[in-house]
Parts: sequence; C-alpha cells; structure tokens
Amino acid sequence: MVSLPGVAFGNREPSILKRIVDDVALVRETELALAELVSAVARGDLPARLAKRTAVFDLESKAASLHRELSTQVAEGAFFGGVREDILELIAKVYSVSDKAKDAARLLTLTEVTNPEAIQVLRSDDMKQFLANLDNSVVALRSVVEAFAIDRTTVLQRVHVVEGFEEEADVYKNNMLMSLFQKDAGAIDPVTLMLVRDFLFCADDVADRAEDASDVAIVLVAKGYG
Amino acid sequence: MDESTPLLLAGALTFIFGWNNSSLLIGNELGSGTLSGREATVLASLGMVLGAVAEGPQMTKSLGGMIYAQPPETVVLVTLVASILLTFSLTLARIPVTFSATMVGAFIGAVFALSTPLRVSQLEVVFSFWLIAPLATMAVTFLCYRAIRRATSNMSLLSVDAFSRRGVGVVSLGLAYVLSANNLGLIYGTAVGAGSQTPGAADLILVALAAVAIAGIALFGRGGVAGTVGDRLLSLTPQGVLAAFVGTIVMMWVATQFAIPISITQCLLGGMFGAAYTKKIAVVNRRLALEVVASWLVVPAAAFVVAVVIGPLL
Repeated sequence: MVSLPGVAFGNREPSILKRIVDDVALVRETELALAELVSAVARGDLPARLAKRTAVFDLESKAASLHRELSTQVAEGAFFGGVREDILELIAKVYSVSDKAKDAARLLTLTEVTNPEAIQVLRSDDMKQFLANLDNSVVALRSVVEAFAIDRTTVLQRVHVVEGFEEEADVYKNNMLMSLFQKDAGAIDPVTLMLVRDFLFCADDVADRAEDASDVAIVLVAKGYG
Repeated sequence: MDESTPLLLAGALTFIFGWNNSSLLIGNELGSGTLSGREATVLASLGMVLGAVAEGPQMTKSLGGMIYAQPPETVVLVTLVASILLTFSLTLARIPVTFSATMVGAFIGAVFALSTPLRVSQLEVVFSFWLIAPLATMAVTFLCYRAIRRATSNMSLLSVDAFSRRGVGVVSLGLAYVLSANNLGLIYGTAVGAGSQTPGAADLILVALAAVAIAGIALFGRGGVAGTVGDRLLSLTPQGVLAAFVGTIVMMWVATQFAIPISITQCLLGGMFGAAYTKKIAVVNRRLALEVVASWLVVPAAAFVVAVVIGPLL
C-alpha cells in the first residue's frame, strides 16, 4: 500500500458493500416496525400505536441519514468504476423501501381505525402473510446485495427470490382488497375503506421498492461484467 | 543558435504535450471513478519518468533516421517551433493533437524548406505503421477484451471491480510509460539528437522533460483534450477501456522498439473500436470518428506547411 496522503491503492469496495448491507438491515427494522404498528392498530392499543408510529418515523429518519452519507461517500470516492451511478441508484432504491414503510405508517395512523370489518382485515391471516412477504422481500434484497461478493449467478437467482416474495405479497393484498370491497355496502364507512385500501397499496410498495432495488442488481451484473 | 535553445523549445513542447494528454492520462480514470485524482497523477507521473528514462533514448534516431545525415540545427529549430505553434493553437482550441504526426509533418516541412535529401524508405515505414497501428491495436484489444471477459465471468461483482480498478491502475502506469517513451523520447531525440549527450546528462534531461510534462498534466488534469474524444466517441465498460489501453500500450511499445513515432490517439481509437465491436451492438459517434481520422491527415499536413513557411524565417 502506498502511504501518500489521499493515495491508497487498496480495495475499498467491500467496506461500501458492508454499509449497503447495514442500510438494508436498517430498512428491514423500519418495515418490521410497520408490521408491529399494524398489529397495534388491529388490537386497538393506542399507546402502542403511537410508540410504533414514532419508531417507524425514527427508523426512516435514520435510514435517510445513512442513505445521504452513503450516497455522498460513493459519489465523492473512487469506487465501483463504470457502475457508480447504478450503485447510487441501488442505495436510493433501498432507502425508498423505508420511505414507503413510513408513508404506510402515516396513512394507518391518520385516524383511529375502529370499524370491526376493517379491524378484521388488519387481523386476518392474509394480512399476516402479506406482512411476512414484505419482510421476506427485504430479507431477500439483503441477500442479493450480499451476493455481490459471491458471483453473478447467485445474484440473479436471489433477484428472482425477491420477485417471488413481491408477487406473493400482491396475492395477499388482492385477497384483502376483495375482502374489503365484498362486504355489504355500508358495512365499512367510506373514510375507513379508503384509508385501509390506501394503506394496503402503500404497504405493498415496500415489496415493490425492494423488487426495484433488486432490478438494479441485474443492471449491475450486466454492466459490471463488461 | 544557443545550445540551450532546442532544450527550451523541447521543454515548451513537452508542457503542451502534458496539457493536451492530461485528460487521457488522468481524466479517464477520474471520470470512470476507478482512481482518485492523486492516484491517477502519481501513476501517470511514475510512468512518465520511467518511460522517458528507460526507453526514451530509443527515439533519438527517429526523425534523424529520415534524412541521410545528422539533422541541421535549423531543421531542429523549425521542427520544434512549428510543432509548438500548431500544438499550442490546437490545444487552445481544444482539438486533440497527434503529437508524433505533427512533429513528423513539421520535420519533413523543415527538411523540404532547406532542400535536404530525405530517406523516402524510412518515411514509408513510418506511414505504413500509422496505417497498420489502429487495425493491429483493434485486433489486440479484441482478443484482450475477450480474455478479460472470460477470466472475470465467474468472479464476484466485487472481485471484478477490484480487478478493473487494479487493471486500470496498471494500464495507467503502462500508458504513461509508452507515451513518454515514444512521444517524449521523440521530442528529446529531435531536440538533442543522437549521441550528443553522455548517458547521465541524457537521463537528467529526460527526467526534466518528464517533470515538465507532469506539470502540464497536473495543472490541467481533466481539462486536457485527448481524453474528451474517447468520452464522446463511444461508451465502454471499465473492462473495455482496460482492453483498449492494453492494445494501445502493446502497439506503442512495438513502435518505440523500432523508433517509429506514433500517436496515442491512432492506437487508442483502434483499440476502442476493437473493444466496442466485441459486442454485437456498439453505439459509435461516427462523425467524431471521421473527424479524428481526418485530423491525422490534416494536422501533419498543416505542420508541414507551417514548417515550410517559417523555415526561411529562422
């Protein structure tokens, strides 16, 4: 290694990769806090609802801060020649998962959900499976990023796993939407109906964004291997 | 003519040479994000000094070999002045300069102006090499690119990136080395001539010239001209750039062994096309490519005319 100031011909990418993995882990914490928020709302536990809402917001704020630091580090340093813009894109997409979790949390806490039909949807097995698939998609995204240190075949295989969880989350989201809209007219007041529906769409974006981030991995593979 | 005049002129020409090539030697590495500014500058500087000292003296008989006797001082002076005038004005206009071609054109113009007999056979060798070099570089690059892609196909993305980073570091050093050996050697050889210096003095002059070129590189960094052609000509991956640089290094080194002056753009353009056509689809700025190729003819012709015009005045 050369020890002149500002000169180090070492390999700096692994430390950046580790930070991206840590970023995904933080994003997962946000998404897990969202799941706990849903549970608190379904239980009608107001203090827990407020605490989990704050937790989601705080974690998103941390993720935003890490995203800014990481982006600056990549933008200013000599890393990932030829694919630096795509790495920045990946970091942005990873952060957007957290951002969507925050948006979903905000929607769900706009007003107190008291309607029994809506509560039933939030407590349903479909919701549990939906949230589990959101989590699985983020965990799978983390494994995609980790695969950058393995080989391209593994990266591509893991990208498909993210897609699978995203599609599965879609199925459960559709089940819940159908449950919402198949109730007898007037069973759920329009405001609650809109709120739960918008929450489902927004929460589903968590998996969509995870999939978008994994799509960037495909671009990285295509460009990175020349 | 004062003995130091050719050296001072060589110093001025070397500075312009560093200025014009700074983008190529530093800008590409910076722009692609593979090396930091300091790393690129350190490697370029190291390569310039090593190339000048180790192989620069091989170019002393390059232009001198085109005529039957030692070039008269006036020919040397006219060659250097015409080269400075042309390269300085073209660099100011941000047009990439083929240094070796400019110097060859100016030298022939100076010889013509003074009615000195010319060795046509040697000239034919140089021109033939100029025709072959881009194609040969293209072939070397094509093979090199395929080898790199095969070698990296089973690596992790991080390993590929590390490979590219280290590869770009090595080829940056190599590129500065061959560029210095050939072009700086040509400037040195033209100014000093063959056999007129002791080895120690020759090394000192070459190191001094390399230092002047490094000053030009460091002062202008990415603001140079040559690299911008590559940036706008076509889009290459780091591995493509790596292969194009390897092809260029090989061809310039071969030229240096035969004391044939060669421009880096002549080789690099061929190399870039070689890398681009490894893939079936290549987006190429054809107009720019034609402009560059046309400049290989126009610039030496202009240098010839300038030398013929200023010859009788000096």
